[in-house]
Order: sequence, then C-alpha cells, then structure tokens
Amino acid sequence: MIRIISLEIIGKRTGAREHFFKLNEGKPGDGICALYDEPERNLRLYCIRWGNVAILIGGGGFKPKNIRAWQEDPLLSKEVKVVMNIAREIQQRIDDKQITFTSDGSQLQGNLNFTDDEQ
Amino acid sequence: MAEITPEEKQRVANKMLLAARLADLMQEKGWGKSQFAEKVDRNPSEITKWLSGLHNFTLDTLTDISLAFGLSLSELYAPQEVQVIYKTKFVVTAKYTQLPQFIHFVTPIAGNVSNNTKPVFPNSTNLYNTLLTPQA
Repeated sequence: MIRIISLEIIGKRTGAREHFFKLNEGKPGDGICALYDEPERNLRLYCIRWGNVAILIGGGGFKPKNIRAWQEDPLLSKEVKVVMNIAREIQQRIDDKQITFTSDGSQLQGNLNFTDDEQ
Repeated sequence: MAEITPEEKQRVANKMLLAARLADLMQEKGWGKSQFAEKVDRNPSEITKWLSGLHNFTLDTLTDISLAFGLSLSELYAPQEVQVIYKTKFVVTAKYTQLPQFIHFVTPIAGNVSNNTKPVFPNSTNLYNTLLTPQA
C-alpha cells in the first residue's frame, strides 16, 4: 500500500528521483531498479527508470531474508527477467526511433505494444 | 485491498518530500553521501536510508540535519517555491546592438536539469551568429 502512495507522489510531486530507488538491479545500463520498501516488509517492485521523468513499473514480489539477490529466488527472477526483456526492447525501439519522448519530455510515445513473442 | 487513509498518505508524502528536500540541500552544498554523513556523524548507509523516502526521522536527527545545513527546523520544512534549476551568464566581448536576456529554466519536478545554455535575444536572434558578426 505504501508503494502505491509512493508512486503517486513520485508522479505528481517529486519525480522519479534516483534516491528513491535501489539502482543496478538488472544488467549495467539497462535502467532496472527497485523501489525501496520498508526494511521489515522486504517487498520488491522492479521498474525501469529514465532519469527523473519516466519510470516503467514492472512486477515484483516478496524478497526472503535468507537471499541476497533476486537471482536466488525463482519468482523474483521471473519478474526481473520480464522487466529486463522489456527494457531491452524499449531501448532497441528508441535506437530505431520507433519510440521517442514527447516534446515536453514527459511521456514515451510510438510503438509501445509488446507481446510475449518478443521476450 | 485495504483503503489508504488520509493520515497514511500524508505520512508517506512527508517522508518523501523531506527526502527530496535533503537531496536538494546536499546538491546545493555539493555534498555526496559520504560528505553529508561526515557532517552529521553517521555512516553513508544511514544517509541512503534517509534519502529512500521511507525513513521516520527522530527530532534529534532532524535537529542534527538542520544544523549541518545551517538551517532552522522550520526552514528545513519550509515549502519550496518552484526553483530556477538552471541559470547561465556569460560575458560578451564583441559589440552588439541588442541586450541579451538570460533564460531561467524552471520545472516543478526538482532535479530535472536542462542542458540548454543559449540566451534569448529580444528578436530571437541566434546568439552565436551575432557574436560572430561584428556589430557597428
């Protein structure tokens, strides 16, 4: 529930500031990060972050305390890999100019449809 | 799904806005996490928690933070106006007939920085062409 409120505040007031996220959750440079959660809850919500202006919210789950990284948990691994695949596809489409930012820099536009075939 | 109470919403908002305020103050001072940690006699990992937007600060900690920034507690919490996030000034040595104006880039989303450095002349004359063209 806290995460929903946090996302609303990010969207309406503060922007997707770097310090709200645990960075480098995916591969270097893919922008995958996790929104911080309260220490005692250990919930992970994985996102792709483009500067302070845009985030793509993926899936996530509970991170057991006995693991150090998502790679050790099959559910979290599955969620992160979906986000990684989407991040890679978006970057490719940005490079191909199929996806661009709007002139005010506030939204992505273009070919934003993704199918399972592309994963 | 349980309802989000207004109190819960405001608590989260306050923590995140305070974290954003701390990040902005650190940026103003040119402090990274390590430098700020040194100023308040904490570990850098503690600063990461403060900036996460989830930390519930004690009054003692807030006092230490405000002192480190040279602010009162009320100044630490004072509502921030929309800030000028980029301002450029340069000296023109060539003669010109128009006075340059300076662009102030303003965004409600703090931390969003523009890279545009060109000033605007009253008639939207391109600055660089003007500089390259000696004026009578």
